[in-house]
Amino acid sequence: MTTALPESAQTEAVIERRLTRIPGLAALRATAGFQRGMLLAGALLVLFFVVVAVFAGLIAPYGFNQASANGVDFPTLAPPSAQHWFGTTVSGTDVFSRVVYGARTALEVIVLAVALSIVVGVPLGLISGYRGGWLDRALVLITDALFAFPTLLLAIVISIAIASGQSSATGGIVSTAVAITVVYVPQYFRVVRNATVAAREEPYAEAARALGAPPRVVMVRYVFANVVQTVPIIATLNAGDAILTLAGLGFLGFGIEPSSAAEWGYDVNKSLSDAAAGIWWTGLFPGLAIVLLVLGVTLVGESLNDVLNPVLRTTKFRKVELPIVVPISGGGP
Amino acid sequence: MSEPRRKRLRNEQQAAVSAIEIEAVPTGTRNSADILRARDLRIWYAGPKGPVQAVDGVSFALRPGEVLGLVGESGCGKSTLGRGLMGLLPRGAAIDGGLVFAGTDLLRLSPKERDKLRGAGMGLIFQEPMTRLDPLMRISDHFTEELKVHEPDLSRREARDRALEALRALGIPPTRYRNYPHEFSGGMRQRIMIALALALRPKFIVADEPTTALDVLVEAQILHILADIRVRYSAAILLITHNLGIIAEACDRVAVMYAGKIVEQGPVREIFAEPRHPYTQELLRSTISLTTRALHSIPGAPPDLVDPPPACRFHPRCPHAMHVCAARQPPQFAESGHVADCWLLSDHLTVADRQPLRRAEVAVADEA
Amino acid sequence: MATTTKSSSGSLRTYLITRLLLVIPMVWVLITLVFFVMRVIGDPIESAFGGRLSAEEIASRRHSAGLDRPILSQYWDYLVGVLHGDFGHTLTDNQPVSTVLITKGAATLELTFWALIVALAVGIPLGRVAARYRDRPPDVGLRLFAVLTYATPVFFLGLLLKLLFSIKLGWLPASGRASTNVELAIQNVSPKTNIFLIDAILYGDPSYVIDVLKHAVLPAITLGLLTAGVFLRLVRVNLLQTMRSDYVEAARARGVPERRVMRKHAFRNAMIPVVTVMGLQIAVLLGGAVLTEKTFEWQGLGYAVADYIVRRDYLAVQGIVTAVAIIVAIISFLIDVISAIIDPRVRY
Repeated sequence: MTTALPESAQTEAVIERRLTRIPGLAALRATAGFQRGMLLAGALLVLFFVVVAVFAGLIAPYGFNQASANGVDFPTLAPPSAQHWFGTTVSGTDVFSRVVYGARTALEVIVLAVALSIVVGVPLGLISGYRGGWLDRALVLITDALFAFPTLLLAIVISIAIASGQSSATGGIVSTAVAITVVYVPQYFRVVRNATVAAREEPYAEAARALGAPPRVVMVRYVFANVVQTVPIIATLNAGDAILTLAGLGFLGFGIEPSSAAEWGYDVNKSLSDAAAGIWWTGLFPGLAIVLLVLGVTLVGESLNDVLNPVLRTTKFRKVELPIVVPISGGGP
Repeated sequence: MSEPRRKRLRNEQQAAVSAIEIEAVPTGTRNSADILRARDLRIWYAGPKGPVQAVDGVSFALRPGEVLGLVGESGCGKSTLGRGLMGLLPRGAAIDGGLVFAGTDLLRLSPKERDKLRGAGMGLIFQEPMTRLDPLMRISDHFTEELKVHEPDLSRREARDRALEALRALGIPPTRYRNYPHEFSGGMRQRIMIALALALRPKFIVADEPTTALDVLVEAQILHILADIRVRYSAAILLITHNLGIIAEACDRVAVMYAGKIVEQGPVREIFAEPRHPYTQELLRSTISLTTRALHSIPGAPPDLVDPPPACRFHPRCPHAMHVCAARQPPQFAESGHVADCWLLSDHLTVADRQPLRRAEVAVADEA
Repeated sequence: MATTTKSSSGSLRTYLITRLLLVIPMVWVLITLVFFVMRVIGDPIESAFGGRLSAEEIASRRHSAGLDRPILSQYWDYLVGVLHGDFGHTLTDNQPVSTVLITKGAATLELTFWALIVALAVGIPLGRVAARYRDRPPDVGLRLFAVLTYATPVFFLGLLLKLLFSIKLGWLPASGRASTNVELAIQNVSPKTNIFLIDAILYGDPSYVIDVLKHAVLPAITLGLLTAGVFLRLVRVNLLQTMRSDYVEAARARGVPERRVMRKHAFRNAMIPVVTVMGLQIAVLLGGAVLTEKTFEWQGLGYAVADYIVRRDYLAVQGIVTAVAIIVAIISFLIDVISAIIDPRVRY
């Protein structure tokens, strides 16, 4: 006699699929609930800022250093109003426009910095991990030393070295991007190098070598695949950190020449003296912009990271309910 | 069915099952000397694809000093059963049926009462000893913790003496008492785990593959220790293993488990001499000895416990499968302590029932 | 009863010596990097005083600062100097960098100390809560909080806290380490540690102590929250892992009550990486300290560095950055020592 299984007593469980070969698609599908929400929210935020940055010219009503229009000067330190949605600064510039153009600055610097870091750090890590020897050991020592050092201080030092004082507009953006690159290259290098070294020791690599495959083929085919998967995550996480470093540099008064580009950190710095008089709009909006952009980038990076780390992956399930059983009366001998 | 109605039904069912007379337990003549009795025990836990029917209607009993072997392939549910008896269930798991230990209905106990039983009344010996000790605590700390939790009135000296005695019985010298776990080998750690399990003289011990992770010489030592325990402390032992050799050597009775159900149960000698269930027969045929000429294996793989085969769960892999096997759950056939659940033992089947299930049908049945 | 065997205490010693030997090359690399990077800028004197002093003045200053010698001998002298605790002289206000380090360094030390306390006091308990309510609303909320504390720049948080608690509500002071009168008074304490809390206590006036504490609240919270999120997530992740570990299950099997299992077994093992991470966070805190000090006009090293940068006194910057590198390395070493003592397995 079979056990009775009423339909209504069936339990359900949300399905968690395994990751397939394609990182992006699989990652999206593998998320569930909260993590998917995080991923989408982050992606939306980032997309928002990208749009703002690209179309800054169309979105911002005024230039970022513009203090007058049609011959009429803007009021200074004016609270938010219909003409100036985020108010004006002490020099009469429109805060909203500055925030919008600041998005462009931030994205230019960060995209450049991340791209450079990957271009320099990843191959360096691959070669160093693959070759080994004294080169590897020296590079590891140097990058470990850099890694342990406060990023902001390092960025300051490098910035000073590169820009050596005043600089032009593009020089400002490029030099800052390069400074940030130098600070973050060690991170890419480290991860890639460790992945390479690990892959070198893997049994499948050994097997491939035993079969006669040249080591380079093994490296490219296997290690590269591994590395490619982790780099986007590091990139997003680093991008968040890089934005904060950029803002920090700007805050300290050493980043981009103010007349050449708008920068959020610089604006917050200038707003410090306004704060004493209770003026909040000059600092709140640029600061909020930093928070939202970094938040977006971090959410994307974090949720991808969680997805690939099985311990943290959200496993959704419901408590099991045992269906009612009619006691077995037995077929009997 | 509405939620409250369902709950009420379940409570009634629980009460009914617990009250069922002892003779209904299908293991031959048992009496109230049993230290542990399980009847129609079910343990389902939550898996990614749905509830896993890891233990689905299991019944057995143990007397003090008796060793019951529980044998089956990986994934048959024996570990879940072992843990379920201890009350260590995974997240979202549900348990029901009858489970009585020394006269107490275990499923009715509060979590606190259950905690008190664990360690003191019933003990568990794990499979891999390497990771079972807290790396930050000395062995002495492990013992004092356990003893203090269950007998808070013990003085430090008394606790230490008891611990040293338990360790000495297992061959661990007192000089190592204050060492950290990582300073011991695998075999020694397993002995420490056993000492910890025995420190409070439990009446019932679950040994979940205690020697699988150890080499053969250490295995012999551990089995010797287990034999010693049942004599010295009159403890009942449920010895879970996939190794028939250990069953033959160390157990009085054996229960063969397949896909969440016990398919055959009885005294070791009898089961080995005259296995009645096809699965048991296949298992015995698959063991390797000095006279083995060719390797024998059971075709197919153990079924998915989320969606197990209907009726007899072994029918997709059974060489003697009949039509009825895929249609109706086989009843139990008991004969003086030797029990098997198989249609082959029935005298009341029709000709249609007895039609053999052909391989193609078997394949289809597998997918169904 | 016999305690640890001889071999394990020996291995602790060898481990520490090995770590120490590894630290030294790292520090050397950093010092060298900083030195040569600064030289790349060009001439420090020119940068600092160019356009403000005559050419001969500049030349003579260069000579007295020893900057016209071959670069390698400058480098060697610098290294030797560092070993003796001499980090050079500042250009613009002509004092030994070591003096700056001591006076301003104490301020930064005080700030970092308070910040670390805030970070641990907020991060660790909240991490436990998050692990306990895994994937349910409290956990989700806390993880969001952790991400937010990371995403918010230190100076922005400082600005917001200032606006709210100082300007709008007036509960706490907006800047400085102490009120002017207090600061002046405790300058004459002896022995003078430059750590205002200690100095105020030594001075003996309780209202002064409270004044110092009030000034420390906002900067400490600002800087502390920066890393609180890190500790929160770290404790959460590690706790989730230890909660499922084999020894935890074994403890439960022995009947140890759940609360004790969590506290003694799961939590203590989960905390081991926290100590290591603390070491890494020191670097983050020092970077954040620069920004916090600027926001609250806290006269510490960060404030000084920012100031020297504005004045383009690159020799001062070089000296301070070198000192910071050494401090970071020493702290990293100390963290390793503590880790080794805590976890008996971590010894070569």
